[in-house]
Amino acid sequence: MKTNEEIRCIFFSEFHPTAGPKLVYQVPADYLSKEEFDNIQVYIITKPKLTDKIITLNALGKKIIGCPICIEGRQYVRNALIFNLCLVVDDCVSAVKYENVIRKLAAYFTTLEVNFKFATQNSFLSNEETKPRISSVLEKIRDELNGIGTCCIPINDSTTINLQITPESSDPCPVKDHDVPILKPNCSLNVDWDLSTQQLMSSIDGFRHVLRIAVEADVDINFIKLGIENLIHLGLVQLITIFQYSNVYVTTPKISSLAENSASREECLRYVSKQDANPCFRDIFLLYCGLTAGTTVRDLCARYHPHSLGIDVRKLIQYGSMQGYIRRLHKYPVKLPNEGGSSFLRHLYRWFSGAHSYDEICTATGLSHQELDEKLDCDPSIVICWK
Amino acid sequence: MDTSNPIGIFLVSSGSNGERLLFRYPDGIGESPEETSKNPKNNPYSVKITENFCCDDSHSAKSIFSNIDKGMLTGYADKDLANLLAVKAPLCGKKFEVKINEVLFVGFPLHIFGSNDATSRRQMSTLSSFNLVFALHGSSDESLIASYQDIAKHLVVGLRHEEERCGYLTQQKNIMWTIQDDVAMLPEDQRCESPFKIMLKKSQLAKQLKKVHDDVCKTGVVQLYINNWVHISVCLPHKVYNMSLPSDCGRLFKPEAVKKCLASLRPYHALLLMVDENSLSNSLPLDSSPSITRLLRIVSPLKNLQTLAADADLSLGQVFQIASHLVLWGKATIIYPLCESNVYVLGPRTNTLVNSALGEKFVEQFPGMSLSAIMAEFSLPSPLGEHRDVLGLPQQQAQEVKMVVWMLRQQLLLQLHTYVYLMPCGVPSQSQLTPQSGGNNSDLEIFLSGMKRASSASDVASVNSDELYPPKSPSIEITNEGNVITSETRLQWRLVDQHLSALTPEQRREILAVPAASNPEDLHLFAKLCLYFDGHHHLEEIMYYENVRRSQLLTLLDKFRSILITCIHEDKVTSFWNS
Repeated sequence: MKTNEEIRCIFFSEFHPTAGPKLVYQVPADYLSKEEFDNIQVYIITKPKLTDKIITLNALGKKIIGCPICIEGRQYVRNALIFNLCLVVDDCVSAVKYENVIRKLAAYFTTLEVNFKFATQNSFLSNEETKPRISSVLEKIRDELNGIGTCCIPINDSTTINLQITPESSDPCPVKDHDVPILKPNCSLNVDWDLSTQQLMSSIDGFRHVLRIAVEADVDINFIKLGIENLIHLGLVQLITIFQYSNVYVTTPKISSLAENSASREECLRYVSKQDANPCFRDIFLLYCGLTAGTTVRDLCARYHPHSLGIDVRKLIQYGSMQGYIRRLHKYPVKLPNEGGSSFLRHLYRWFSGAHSYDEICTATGLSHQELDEKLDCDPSIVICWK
Repeated sequence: MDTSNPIGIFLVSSGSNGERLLFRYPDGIGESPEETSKNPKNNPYSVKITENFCCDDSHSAKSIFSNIDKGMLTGYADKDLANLLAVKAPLCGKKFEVKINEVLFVGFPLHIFGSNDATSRRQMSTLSSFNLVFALHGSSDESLIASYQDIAKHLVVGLRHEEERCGYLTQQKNIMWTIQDDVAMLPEDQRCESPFKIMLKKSQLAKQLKKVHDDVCKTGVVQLYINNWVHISVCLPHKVYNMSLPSDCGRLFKPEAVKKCLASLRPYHALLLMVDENSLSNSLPLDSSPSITRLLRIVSPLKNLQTLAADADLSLGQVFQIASHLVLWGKATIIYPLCESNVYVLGPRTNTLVNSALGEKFVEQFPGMSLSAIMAEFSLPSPLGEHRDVLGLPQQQAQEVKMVVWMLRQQLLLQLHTYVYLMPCGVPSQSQLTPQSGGNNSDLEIFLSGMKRASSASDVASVNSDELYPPKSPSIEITNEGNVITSETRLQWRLVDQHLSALTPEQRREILAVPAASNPEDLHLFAKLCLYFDGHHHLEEIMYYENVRRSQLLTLLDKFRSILITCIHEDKVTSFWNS
């Protein structure tokens, strides 16, 4: 991960028995002025009802993420210790990815405070001897999170602060039977995965669909789906559609970024080249642009002979789908409601509502695209929508 | 459940009496959910973990309990909200945003400056600042937050004006306080109705804030008069768009998508009204600009904005502004003008479900037709003119156009455009076409000014032998010095100097190596157009800016096809709703 300065500041504030809310330590020093702190302290040292909640304040051109904590105990001057550890980022930065860091950090500091008390009759945060250590701990946390995105800081024999910035991710969309998982181009495989993931990874080749992987591995399909969802969440795997020579793809506006960005061009060249071949980028681009509605991959091969150009057409389609340069046009058979139809197909009519694509129907019924094509050809009451 | 809807609207004031929640809607019964929130913690079967992450455990238990219940905010007492939402003076006059767990509070706090005579009139006024806040779902994105802050800002500025004009806010505040105090004085068992429900009957402002909340949820448009005086009229751009579509589309896009589209509005685009022109004219406020009415009278999906400007006798800038305004309010959308050569296909998110509400709407408009059959016809891209040939009869042709307009309004169709890339072969890693990373517009301007120079130079060159005009430009001087230079080389020099200067030497060599480049006319046209061949300009745009005919352009592309690649896809501007 690259070094950045995204976390501008990290500070520790507490409710001082006599002085009230107070900014005790901040790294770098003097990042927040006393006035700035006073204006926003109501969101940092909060009323008791708001403790244990992640509070993100966007004000003064900054986002301040914190989680106020209140530890009750008779040893404290006001019968409670109220503190908050906050991160500050610029207001244009998304703060969601730091929420887990803050939540965990608050838990660590609570543990430290409570456990020290049990061990030595003295606590960590409220002890004047150990308290100054907070400042150096904060500095380390900031530097390491900004530097490598994780940090690991031993505090004492039993507590080590382990933190990691969790990248934001939207809910993974459900994996369907006919989806094809594929490893992303630059994903590293030398990580120690659990056994089932290892097995799953070995059968992900970008051609086999979920149902087939499940059947071949003789594993319940829901486990496979869960595993794939997890890999998608980790950003290692992506879903594409089943590759067939009868598929139709079209280019998207994104294709211009392939032409413009030399890094993308080189990655694309590496990915789609056949072994020991050295194709020209123009040919690859020409093939992508040859993908239009009404042109199947078979037609494309017949027109340009990608094999002789040193291009692996299956990889070409895989790469284009993964990067969003092309998208698949799906076939949706629709039975027109006011017309009769052939009795041979009646048992399939429930699939022809316009909501099910060829891939879906074929995976569910076991028909091949060609067989389905032939069946539909002889029924004039069915029209095909491509989208 | 639409997560872009607010889960509540709040009005808080602060003054010499401290902070107070004046009004909230819907009036989540503040305290009672607190009881349930404690239940997960008091589970008798839970293992008490004294060490390690005891705190973490309580967090996970907390997260089971959400502060959002059935689209309403729960678990916050009025007192807490007042404390939370009434901000300190230095934060007034700025956007307000605070997120607590999964609830996001956004608003716009404002100071009240009593002018001297106003304060003397109202000695009793203790109002120093107030804040109008929407509670949103925590996952709301930035452009949505900005839209709500914008609405809040409109309202608070209006309210402050009325406060300073006639003490409206103080008067409403007093009504609200009285109701709250009355209810608080009642014995516990007699408090059958929440004070906020009573306010809806007695306070005009409370009624209006409820209306704001309801309108934002339902239509995305807020139109009201504060104190029957200040007119407020704002909208949520993405919402009004989604509202104009049938509910079974289920498409939601971010407000910024609309703004991006408007930023790339061009004079060759056309305006397609989403609603009937008459009803739109009638819905305009009385003091609306007459230019809008004038434009609405002549607007047509066949005319581009420049033609509209000429026909309505408005400046192009004005037409752009009106068009942007109408798009922002969801009354119109941007298309490329309808013409026979346009190619349409079904959008990837089009709902093809047979018997959908959309299909029924279609049959209402076009009896005897089936939407599915028409959709199947638009599954394969072909120019509009060819669709019409299939249908034959003239009245059917007219209906076909109507259907296309209808489908464009419903955003079922994408228009495909052809883009051109200059990509010579034999250069495995050619550098970028335009190395400078400046905006398209500035590039274009430089290019256009270059064009003027070129045409004047060639005009001069053509009459140069008569010596009517003394040589002016350096290129002419060169030609005068070298008599042996043929017209082709002269042309090539000039091209290299003026148009192809952005290209690498290899690219220039490749262009000149194409057989058609030996024809000076073709080479001249190519040089003139080659800056458009970067995949960002579709044929229609090139035709518009360079005033060339489609046939001319297609012939040129064919002649230089060995170094060009054409690519077909939709225009991001006219299909922003698809993103």
